[in-house]
Amino acid sequence: MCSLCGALGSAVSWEQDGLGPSERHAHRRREAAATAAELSRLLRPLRITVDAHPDFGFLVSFPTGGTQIAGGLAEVWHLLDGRGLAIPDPLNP
Amino acid sequence: MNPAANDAPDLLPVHVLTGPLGSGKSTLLNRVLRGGLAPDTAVIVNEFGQAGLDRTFIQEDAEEVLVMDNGCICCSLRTDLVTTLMRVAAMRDAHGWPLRRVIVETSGISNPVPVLHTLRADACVRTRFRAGWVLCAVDAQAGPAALRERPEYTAQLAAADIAVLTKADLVEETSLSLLSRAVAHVNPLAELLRNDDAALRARLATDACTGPEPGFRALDALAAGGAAAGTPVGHGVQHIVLRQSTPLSWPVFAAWLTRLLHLHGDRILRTKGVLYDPGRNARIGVHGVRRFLHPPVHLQMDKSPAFGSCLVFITEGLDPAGIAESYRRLQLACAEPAELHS
Repeated sequence: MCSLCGALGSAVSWEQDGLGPSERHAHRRREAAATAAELSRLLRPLRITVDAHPDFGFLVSFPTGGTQIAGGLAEVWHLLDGRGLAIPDPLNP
Repeated sequence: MNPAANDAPDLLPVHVLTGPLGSGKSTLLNRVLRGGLAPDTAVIVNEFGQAGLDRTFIQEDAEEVLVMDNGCICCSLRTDLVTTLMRVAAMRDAHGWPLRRVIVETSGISNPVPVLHTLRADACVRTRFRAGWVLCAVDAQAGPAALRERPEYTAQLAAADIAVLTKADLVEETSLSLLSRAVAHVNPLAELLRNDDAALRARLATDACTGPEPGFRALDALAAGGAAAGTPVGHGVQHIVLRQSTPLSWPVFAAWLTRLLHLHGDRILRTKGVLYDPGRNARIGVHGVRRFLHPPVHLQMDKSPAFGSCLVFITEGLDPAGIAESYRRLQLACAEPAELHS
């Protein structure tokens, strides 16, 4: 655990997993940043931004100023739906 | 195609052997262990009753057999599974046991998916173990009728990477062919073995870092040959094969797939596919069972495949044509960037 921020260690979101050891750190950070950028683009109409963090996955920032941590993509969707936000369903656009 | 080396070779694969009551799981397991896998295999047996019959059948053959009884592994014994697996890890450490794999034999009524989730969700377990293959014993004597009559059987088979026809020597070739077709309808991604112990042992013995390879082999065949899309089988099970010649960005696809599974994962039995992302110059294999997603596999290609990207979805009670339409919209949205892909 990081003694400064209390993060429990590096979280690996599903889409960043499966990389080889030599490319692990650099790739994972780039992949995390790319995923966060894609999520931010998707969620722009709701004024929600997502940032990647090497220790705890994603940091989701809401327009009211609140933030929440998500360990992976599934957790991002879970917390957004938990807030009752109008996130589209791929099968019912 | 072959999966590239995994980044966690020390994580022991935990294979799940499933199948309905009386389908021959213990017999199959015994034969595989006797064939040479016993010394480096730990076996965890889940028995629903307290009699412990399966333990009697298996104990003399395996190096170590741990029994979880008096409950169903997918419902009430998930904490016990964590404890049992950590006992295996502790024994390995304490005795220098050259363990290469763990096989969990579920009770006949268990759904294997919660076992996979347990392997991922528990913070201790995931530092020592990873999800291996799901093997389903398919009773040739019971035939396709059992698949129609028992919903839990369909769920077990749909989750399988490898389907093993047991008692195949007791039925005629025509019956076996009928059953093979029924199995392929429920799960076209599963590799079908006809009581072939040697092939099964070879799969399990070479599993160190290969991940769910059999399904990707089946995917090749599906992509090349074409399978019936949206074919209904029974219990509302259907499958669809989506082929795209155009590449797709991996983060875009990952966001779409995880959103889809988050909302509809209870009705999407299996997801398997290979994506080509030109930005990463990579082909990435995707393999999921309901909401459980194995780590993406970065594939090395022996030769250029006949398709760009190929995805297979097996659904239950969900029209897969809706997924196809959503995927088509995703492709279009990528060509013309929009705010929300749906």
